[in-house]
Amino acid sequence: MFSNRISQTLHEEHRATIALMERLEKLISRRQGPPSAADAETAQFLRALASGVEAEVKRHFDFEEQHLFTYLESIGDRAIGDHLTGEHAMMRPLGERLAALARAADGAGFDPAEWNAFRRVGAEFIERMLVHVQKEEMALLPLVEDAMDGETETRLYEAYAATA
Amino acid sequence: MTLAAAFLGGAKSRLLPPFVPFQFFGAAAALHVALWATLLLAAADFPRFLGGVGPTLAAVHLLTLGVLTTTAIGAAAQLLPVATRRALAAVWPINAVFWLLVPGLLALVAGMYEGWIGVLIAGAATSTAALLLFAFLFADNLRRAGSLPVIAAYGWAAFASLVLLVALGVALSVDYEAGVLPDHAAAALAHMVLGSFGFMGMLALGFSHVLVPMFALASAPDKRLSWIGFGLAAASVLTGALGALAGSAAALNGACALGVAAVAVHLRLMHVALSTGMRKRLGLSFVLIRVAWALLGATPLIGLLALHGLAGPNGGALFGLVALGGWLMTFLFGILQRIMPFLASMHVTKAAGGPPLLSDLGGGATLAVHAACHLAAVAGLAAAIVLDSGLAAGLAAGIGLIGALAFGAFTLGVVRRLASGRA
Repeated sequence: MFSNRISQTLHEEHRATIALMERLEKLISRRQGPPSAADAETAQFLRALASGVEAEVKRHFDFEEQHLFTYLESIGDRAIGDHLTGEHAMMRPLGERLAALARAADGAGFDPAEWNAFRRVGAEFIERMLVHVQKEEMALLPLVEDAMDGETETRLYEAYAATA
Repeated sequence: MTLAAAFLGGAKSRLLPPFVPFQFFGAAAALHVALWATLLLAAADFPRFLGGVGPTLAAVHLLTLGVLTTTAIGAAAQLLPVATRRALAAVWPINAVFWLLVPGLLALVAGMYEGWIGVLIAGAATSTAALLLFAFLFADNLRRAGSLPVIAAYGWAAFASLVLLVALGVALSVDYEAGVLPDHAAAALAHMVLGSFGFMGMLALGFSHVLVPMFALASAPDKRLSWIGFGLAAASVLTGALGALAGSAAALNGACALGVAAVAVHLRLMHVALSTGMRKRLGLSFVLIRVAWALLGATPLIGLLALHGLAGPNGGALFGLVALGGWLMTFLFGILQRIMPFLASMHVTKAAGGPPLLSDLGGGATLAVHAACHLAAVAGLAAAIVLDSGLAAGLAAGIGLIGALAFGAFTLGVVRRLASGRA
């Protein structure tokens, strides 16, 4: 879809993140109350959610802020980076809280208060993430595709790959 | 540059004061209530309606001018300057459009309802001035939409249709008094074709190429197929309008056949967007949009059946209902319930600071009531036409009125939060 490797990599990560968010949305939408601690599928998902949010999303955000947005600022386009950094700042504490709740529930299950907190934090995180990804897909990635030169692409792609 | 890219890249500087688009949305919500209330009063005549001054004609124009056009102008007033990266030179012209359009259409509708021809003509003239002013603003922005060629093509087709339908509308109004038209019914059918499929239809199809991929997080539709779809749609509208004016059954059949092909291409593009998009759980708005697409698919088929006398004695009324109430109105409400909170969120902050969640600005329960009532009402009206039952039409209109009040409550909630500046 993108010829720029940075855009394509971020796009593939967005796809994985959206799939994760949709599974989370399906989980927190259930009417039956919290899932059983013994449910293997839920436990596996909670682990994937915690690692996805703690590691992958954090890595993605850090790369954008430390490398990509500074590059865009250097070519005179600061507004997009500032806007998206602001959204990252809203989402980071939500992600940390969500991952903590998911880790605590893995194996032990949720008590009613924890389940309510998980649903509330999860719903807000999903909504903010969906809007954020929408903006990056429609605005940031095409901008990087159009504006970035080959040398910068290689440098930043190697920098990002090194954080994996 | 895409619409979303323009939104992100300093769009705040291109945002209109919130009252500008929201005065249109608020008026449309109120006129939506008036539409169903008028249909309730017109229930006895509705199933057989094929034109002519009276309550049903008033209800039709409450839908076409009051709900569809008013909403389209409000949305276009905000979306176009952002997409073209050119702010409106001034806000007063779009405000002038509002203050000419709403009183004008109220007079037009009152004149139609009561048969007050002088009032009808005055309302038509005032609405015409509003629509021509909007058309000028719209065309001025379209000239600068260099990066959206297919969307611009749909926009120009909508613009041309708007000018022609307005001219026919004035002629039809004057004809009630002065008998200037050789065939009033033919002109009315051409007016309906240009309004439903030319103006509103082209706007709906064109904006779908941007909004549906945006909501589904999908790539832009295939360019070649998009151009083929546009060509078929434009040919269908042109053939239909000329066929209506000439009273040519062959041309009208051709227009329906072209319409079938155009719809097939459009729905293929939309299907690809949804199936390849990242976002699968699209919520209630896309339930309405999918129903609208199904009824879009049915529209030219019902047109063909009606032309051959196979859609029952009230086939013409059924065709109009499916096109206007089934496709366009359903589609509009599916899109509007996403667009309104989105636009409001650009002007509102949370009490704790930071941007609000869209869910803070939208009413889940009221939208669910509206959706259920709207779909039931449209189905009920279709049944009323098929059964030739004024009673069924009245029941359906009552259900539609409940839905309209629910959507009005949703709109009021968004406007209230917007006015306070806080989610």
